[in-house]
Amino acid sequence: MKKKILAMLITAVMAVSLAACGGGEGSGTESDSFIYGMAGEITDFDPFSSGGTANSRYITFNIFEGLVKVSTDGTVKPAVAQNVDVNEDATVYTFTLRDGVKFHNGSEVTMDDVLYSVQKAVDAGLAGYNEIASFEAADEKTLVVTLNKTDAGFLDYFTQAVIPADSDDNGEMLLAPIGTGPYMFGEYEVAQQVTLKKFDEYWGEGGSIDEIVVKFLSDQNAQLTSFQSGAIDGFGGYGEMGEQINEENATITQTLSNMSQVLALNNAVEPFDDVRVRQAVALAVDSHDVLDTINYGIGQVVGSPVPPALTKYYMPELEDQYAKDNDAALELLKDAGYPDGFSFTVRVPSNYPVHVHCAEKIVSQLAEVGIDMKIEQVDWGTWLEKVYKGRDYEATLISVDGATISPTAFLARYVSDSKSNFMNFKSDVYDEAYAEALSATDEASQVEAFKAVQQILADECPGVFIEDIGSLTVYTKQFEGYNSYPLTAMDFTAVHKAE
Amino acid sequence: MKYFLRKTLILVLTVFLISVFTFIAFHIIPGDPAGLILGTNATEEQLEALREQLGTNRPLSEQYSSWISGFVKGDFGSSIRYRMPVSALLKGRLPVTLALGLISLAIILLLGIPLGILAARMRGTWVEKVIHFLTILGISVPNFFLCILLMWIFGMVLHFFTPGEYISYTKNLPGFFRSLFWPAISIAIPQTAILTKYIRTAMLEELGEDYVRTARGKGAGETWILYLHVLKNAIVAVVPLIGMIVASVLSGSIIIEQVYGIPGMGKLLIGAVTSRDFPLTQTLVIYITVLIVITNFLVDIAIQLIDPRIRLSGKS
Repeated sequence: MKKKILAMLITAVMAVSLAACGGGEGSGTESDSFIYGMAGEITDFDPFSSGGTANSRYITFNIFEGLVKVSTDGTVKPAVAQNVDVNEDATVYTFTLRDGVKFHNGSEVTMDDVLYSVQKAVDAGLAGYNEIASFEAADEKTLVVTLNKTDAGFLDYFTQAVIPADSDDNGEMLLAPIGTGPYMFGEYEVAQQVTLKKFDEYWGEGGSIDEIVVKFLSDQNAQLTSFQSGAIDGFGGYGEMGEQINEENATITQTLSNMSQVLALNNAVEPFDDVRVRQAVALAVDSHDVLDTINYGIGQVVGSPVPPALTKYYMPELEDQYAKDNDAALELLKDAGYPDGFSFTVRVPSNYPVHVHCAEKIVSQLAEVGIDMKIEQVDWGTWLEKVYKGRDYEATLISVDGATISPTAFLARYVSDSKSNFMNFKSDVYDEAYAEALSATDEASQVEAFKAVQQILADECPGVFIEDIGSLTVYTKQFEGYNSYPLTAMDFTAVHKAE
Repeated sequence: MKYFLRKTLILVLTVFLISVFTFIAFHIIPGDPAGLILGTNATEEQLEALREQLGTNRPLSEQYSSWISGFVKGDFGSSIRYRMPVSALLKGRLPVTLALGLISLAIILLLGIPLGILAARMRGTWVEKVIHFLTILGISVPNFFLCILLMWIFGMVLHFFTPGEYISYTKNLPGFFRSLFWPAISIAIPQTAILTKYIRTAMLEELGEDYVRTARGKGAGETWILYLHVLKNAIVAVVPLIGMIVASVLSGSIIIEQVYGIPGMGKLLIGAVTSRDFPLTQTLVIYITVLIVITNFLVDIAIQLIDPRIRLSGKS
């Protein structure tokens, strides 16, 4: 009797589990589709919502194109426009539309569509569009845009999407986007995944994979598990995930995330209102150690908010302006009246494990000079409201990205009265230098001026610029091909089957 | 009849109170839905325009009253985060969570009851000791850790299933049940352990009762006593537990759906709270509340069916 019951139980359990594992195989990779796992989700495809969040740009980069589009080296190249003429003092931009560019709905792009799209961007108050004095069609193929003032870098803003005229009057683009890009929108399953289909009538050289599926996963652990189990073909993550991937069955591409991680100090609260204290913190933090131990050396130490990808403006000499030096830090703390150090709380967004782990490392580095840093994790909604908008914090750890590849996208927030100056940084010298850089008429002097701006920022030290965190793009061995851009983007046209 | 009226009244009152609690919780936690949608690059003008469009610039009390007046008419409002009607979001998700819950419940009952009986029958032997050890383990190991353990052993090492893969019921029904099986196991294990422990204790208690001795004295066989008398009485003692188990299964599914990436109500609820989506959170919380209250109601009826001595009266 005993044995019977036991045997029955075991059989029952085995039967159920066998039934459950019957279909484990055969559902993996189909030959003509690529499944990409993204940490987080996107909730709309709106091309006019301030450039969207980094996640939505990942996907919309493939659906939409502007008159020009970003190329891998950070410059812009013609897209919907075939040709651009800029007058001598960079105030009038003349675009000639390309022939035969089609929208995903099959209709050809006309001047009406372009005018409608520019007007949408102006109405949405997107960065740069307030500089436009007028825009008009000279003829069916020629668009003339006149600016209020000289701006040699204005072309960057025209990467903004061109959409069919009258197609977004009631926000239709939110959930059913139509663009001219190499991939067209297929299906959106809320909080689950997005399917993109290859656009066969694309004007340029399109992708080679017929169908792209972007799966929304909860976090980097889910990305790793799904990749190792074969549920996804590729994913993008941070350098700290590198050690957990078996390189034998994965192709890993290392790039930079194109934003500087900063230990942001609230310059309006004690003791960070004293520049000596901020410099002391910068000297006590060992960026190289953070990079090596938390991100396994994948990434690059920086000394400015401008990431290395903006090669023209990047200043390598700032990387070690505050090289680890405990003695100098202690000296500065003594001068500032904190010979025994002090304590403060760093509010870290809990949805970014990479920042949480870096904060843990920094705690021990600061302890060496008697500074006691406590970590408080807050959820992303709280961070945005309390820290970023409310500026109610002592210190925080974050990487701030730029909406465009212009240096202004990274430096504008440090101007004293900027609404996004969440570090409460105040410096008249900086404000003057920044205004001067904006009014430079030729490129060489603009580059010089923006370098001067960065030097002032480094000296005044609003926070500790630590590293441009390395990012990893990981594929299974069946796939290869990755294009790196100086802004957040995933170019699915580069992905192809491995030989 | 009076009983049903009273129960319905309690249901309505519970739902109302829960909705007020959710409302108060939203009042306390910081966070701006528009800011969460637009991110760090948004200007104040864009934020204001979006708040106007979403209606989140109104005082929360006004948002609550407009939500609840719609709710009583069957209109759950629109999700702030996903920009679509809440009912459209729920439509595909309710069956997923219900299926997950029912599979878990089936596993709990099919394993918990026989194991409990076995432990009681085999008291004092190594079988009981093994079951006892397993139940303690099942109760103590946290849900999410169990998930990771199962994924690793049965997913990565033994390749019984593909962690992170979910098959929609609209595309492949057997595949759908397969992809829910391991998540259901993760939810079921702690509850199975609890049920096993209860059944064993209840059975042993009943075995010491006078009527068992009487039955033995009358020459009834041990198996006969066990299944006809003891089990029946033990089950009555355990049925109220089912109500609690269902509540735990639902709350467990919130975490498990997140870990396994299953698009049910639990995963949606986490997304709704982190994005401060008031109408969506309210509706989901109400749904879960109603499910739990109704289950307890059914449990009451089941107890009466098993043991007619217990009368359904409004008094508790």
